[in-house]
Amino acid sequence: MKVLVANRGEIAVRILRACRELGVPSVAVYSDADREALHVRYADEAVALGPAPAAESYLHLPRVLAAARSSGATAVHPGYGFLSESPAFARAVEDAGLTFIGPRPHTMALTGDKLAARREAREAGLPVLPGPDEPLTEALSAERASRVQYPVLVKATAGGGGRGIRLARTPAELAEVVGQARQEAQAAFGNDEVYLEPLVQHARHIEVQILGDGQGHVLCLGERECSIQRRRQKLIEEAPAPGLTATQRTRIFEAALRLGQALNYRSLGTVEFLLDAAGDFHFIEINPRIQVEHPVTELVTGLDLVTEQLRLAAGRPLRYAQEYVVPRGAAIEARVLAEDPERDFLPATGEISYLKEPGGPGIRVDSALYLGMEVTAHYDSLLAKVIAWGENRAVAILRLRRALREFQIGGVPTDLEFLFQIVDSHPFIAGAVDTTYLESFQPARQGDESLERDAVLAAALLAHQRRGARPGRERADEGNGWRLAAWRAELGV
Amino acid sequence: MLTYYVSIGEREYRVKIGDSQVWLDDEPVTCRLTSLNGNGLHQLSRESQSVEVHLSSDRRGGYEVLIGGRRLVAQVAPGHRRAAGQQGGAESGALTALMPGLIVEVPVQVGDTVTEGEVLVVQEAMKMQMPLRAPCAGRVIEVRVEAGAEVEQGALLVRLAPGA
Repeated sequence: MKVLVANRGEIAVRILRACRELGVPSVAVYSDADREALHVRYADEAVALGPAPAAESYLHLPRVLAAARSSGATAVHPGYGFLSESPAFARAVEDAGLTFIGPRPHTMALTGDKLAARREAREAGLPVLPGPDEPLTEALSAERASRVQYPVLVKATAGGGGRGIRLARTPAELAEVVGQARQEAQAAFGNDEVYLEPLVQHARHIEVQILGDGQGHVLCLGERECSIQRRRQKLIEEAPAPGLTATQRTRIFEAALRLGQALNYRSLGTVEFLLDAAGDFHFIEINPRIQVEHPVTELVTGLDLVTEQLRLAAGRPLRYAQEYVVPRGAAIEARVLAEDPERDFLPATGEISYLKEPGGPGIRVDSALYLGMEVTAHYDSLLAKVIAWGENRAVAILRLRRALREFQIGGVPTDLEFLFQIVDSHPFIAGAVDTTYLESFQPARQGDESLERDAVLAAALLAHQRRGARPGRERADEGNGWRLAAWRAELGV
Repeated sequence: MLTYYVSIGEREYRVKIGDSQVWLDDEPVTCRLTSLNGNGLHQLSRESQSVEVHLSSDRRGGYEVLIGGRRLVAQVAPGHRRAAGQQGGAESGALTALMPGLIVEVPVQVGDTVTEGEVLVVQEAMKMQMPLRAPCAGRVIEVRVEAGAEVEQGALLVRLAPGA
């Protein structure tokens, strides 16, 4: 088996690590912007894809396929994002005689159509939010319009990853919001089909990890809670979901398994639900790929999900029976992004001038960072994931707080301080947050006084040490003593 | 003893550094900064505490300070740019005389575009010729002196309109 990883960044490194552990030869692909990326060095071989823009590289199906062929890969792992949810890609890989490390193309076509997925879930007996399982047509008939409950979400049928969703609060807003949603959907997914879904107020995002062998056996690997979201992008995720009753957990697991079995699911998948304020859950969608937050499931189950994917792809049976999967402890993940909270979370670019990743008990860091790395705006702003495990949630929180303070990244602003504040906040610690938490979250404006005074002293002392050096030469550091002497000589001192 | 004005966000501090003593807002502080790797990593040693700090200059003359898991950006302005009552430095584009002395040379004129650090005036004092440099990039909008002029400390010499 030889695996081509059709992705980049931290997830590419993650998959390559599993390949290395299993002794499976690996191939990386890279755009011009990623020539010096860590995943390129980590793999056994690397193939160039093309210019930086995703459409010309990581999303360029023919080029990725060509790389698989030319490198002699026998299997392709799509990671998350990019082509990971493209049935056409899965099909093309299989048609080329290679193994697609993921669900069957047919399954992906279904999961990629949110309305078809809802129909399938309904048929499998899952609770699904009320709403026509048809796309919205141009003329919203007066009768249909009167039945819509506001606020209502307008969602792209071909959407995913929290994208392509807009909110209409009143009937007056609907037409405009639908127009905007269509435009966005067309641009992002090449398909302007949208549908309506009632907004669940104060919902909690609960998702269930499943793993199937495509031969009728589906495992449930536990749930995750991902309610800490900023503009529908997850920021902090954890396993297990705090505050779920045993009944709720059993019901949600059974629902996820039923759907997995109905689909004769192959490989990894995540069944997403919303838990409403009344404690009822509703199916939202199913994601046919590995997810960013998979480490929290790995840490509480002790399983390596990517290794399991590779083994299944190699034709091995499922290694574990359901009884073997017994979650232990709690894990929380925080996404470190190159986004400046002081500048409304605008993605930042720069060069990593300093890097010190956290460590110690119960800390795992998934990153592709290295000193000197260029942070560009071509792809997403995810720099690294910090995951803390503890024998209970309280310990996991203490460890994550410690790790977030240990993590030092120089050269780009990050959301590390913001993440710390969230993890340090009372509602989060109490496990009493829902998906609206960050909308009203106010980070503490008060900085640490004594820390700031130390920073002031350090900066002043360094400026003092360098006062002899010429401007523009500041990049040279302590080794510029001779320059100082030369300047003084020039002055005749 | 030299004075530095350090601002972080909206807060400003005054640091005075002598041969053996440092004052932060007029309070004496025992501290020393040592380089750990010649590449920005330092140790700030206080009386009984040591703190790891990573410092690097950004292109606008500020310092990125990584300390205690935070990332702060500090602007450091040497005291000689802040004559009494005047807000000098990069923001206002004002170049003032360091000390009383004679202007030897003024290599720029009104309308010139200059880069940060470019020599605007050469002053002679205490038998030294000192090049006085542009605190920021900009355009020369006012030249108050010419070669041969005697100036007092803090006198405005050249004014720039900051910006490329």
